[in-house]
Amino acid sequence: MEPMDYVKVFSSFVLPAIIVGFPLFALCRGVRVYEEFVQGAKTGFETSVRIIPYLVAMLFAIAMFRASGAMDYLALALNPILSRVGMPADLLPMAIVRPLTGSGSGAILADLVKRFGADAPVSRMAATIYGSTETTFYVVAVYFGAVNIRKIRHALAVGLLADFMGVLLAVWLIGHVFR
Amino acid sequence: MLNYIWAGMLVIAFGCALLTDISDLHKSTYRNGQALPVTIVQHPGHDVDVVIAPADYQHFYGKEGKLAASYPGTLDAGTLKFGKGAALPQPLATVRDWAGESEITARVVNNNSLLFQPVRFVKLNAISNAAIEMSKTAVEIAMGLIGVLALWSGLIKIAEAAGLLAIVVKITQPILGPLFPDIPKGHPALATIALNLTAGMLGLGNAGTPLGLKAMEQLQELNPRKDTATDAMIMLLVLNTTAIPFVPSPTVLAYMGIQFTTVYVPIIMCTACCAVIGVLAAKLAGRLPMYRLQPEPLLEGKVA
Repeated sequence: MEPMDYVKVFSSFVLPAIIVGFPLFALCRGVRVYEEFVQGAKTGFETSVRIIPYLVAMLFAIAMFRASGAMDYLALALNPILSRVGMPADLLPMAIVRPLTGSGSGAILADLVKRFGADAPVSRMAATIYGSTETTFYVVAVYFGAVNIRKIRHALAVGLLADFMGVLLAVWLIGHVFR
Repeated sequence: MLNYIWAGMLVIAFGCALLTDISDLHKSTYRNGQALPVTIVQHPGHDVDVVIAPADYQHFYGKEGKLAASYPGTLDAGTLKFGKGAALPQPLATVRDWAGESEITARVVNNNSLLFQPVRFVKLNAISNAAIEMSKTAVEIAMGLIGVLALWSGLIKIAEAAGLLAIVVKITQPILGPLFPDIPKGHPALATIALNLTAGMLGLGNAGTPLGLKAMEQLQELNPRKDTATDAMIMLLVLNTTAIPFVPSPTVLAYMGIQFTTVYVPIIMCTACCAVIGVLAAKLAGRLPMYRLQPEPLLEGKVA
């Protein structure tokens, strides 16, 4: 087995261990497990309902932005700058969409692999960006929505900075280090 | 800032859509009011085959299109319907989708050319549709979360009651403590955060979100201003978005196939760097005048 396989085997034990282990451990300590579980599960429902307005607000704005073709204009404007840091033009949609939507950026990755092949630098850069950054807008909406927080201070700025650095690093790592 | 970004997205979307639509009208991208030359092969009854010559198509729309040899359709009293389910080249595909029907409806002119319905303001309609569709999707996403959220919230409640979280806190305090200076020592929020980050690193996205939301709720209990994010919340968010994916995301694996081995190490390195940058940025940005929390009487006297 390769090291990767060990990690995978380990991870397939994590979930059952928690789902069975927690109640078992609690039972041994004399906790009324069923009653406690139901009590906790009730809050899960409330949380899902609480995030709906935040999710709607964030996702519909993102969807409109994507459908308007604003990305094409942005690409047109940014390409001269980006080609200087060695970033291929085809990678730009990935860099812009990644913090906005997970499914959208997944589709872009699939498209790049189809057009250029999985071994092309641009595909590998896109995969690295996809793998190492997150859908920051979605996470902000869901996490702060769950606790009804509207003033998020520097959360979005810091998240986007991390995403931006991730894009630059991915381009540099694939372009120069892991050719 | 979120207010400006959000409103900005809407305004930019409207502006770009309008710009594209006006430029389409100006350039007459859809050739409204002009007829496309075609050959109509009649069969018994109303059935016909529509043949569009590539040369005619290119001449008419000013760009090449990948056309089928012929498109089956129906002809009834000068009204031709065709293109149902067929792969049509742009801009013909937009002409079809525009009417909101599954096929193109055109009027036959002089027996040898087709006059389509005029197509205007495609993008403006597209953004409204996107907004409506996505608001439905957002609710579906939230509804999809109910089950997993309930499951994990229940398990955490059990772990809490059994004192299991206190044990996790003790183990992870030395690592997480310095990152979350505002969380009191031994507080259960640290345990939830530890579990949340572990789930992220192990690629257990389904478990990660409920644990993260639970942690947010615990942090909210410590928050004196209920509508404003605390430093700890922002730190949790940053660590979440930059959790090192030791178990890779299934999406990357699926698309990259065997080539995944060439990006695994870059992804780990890239995420690790992002995490460091994110943590430092969160710590520093929290002190900027624009983001600093206004001191409250309750919190005064605390050493920064």
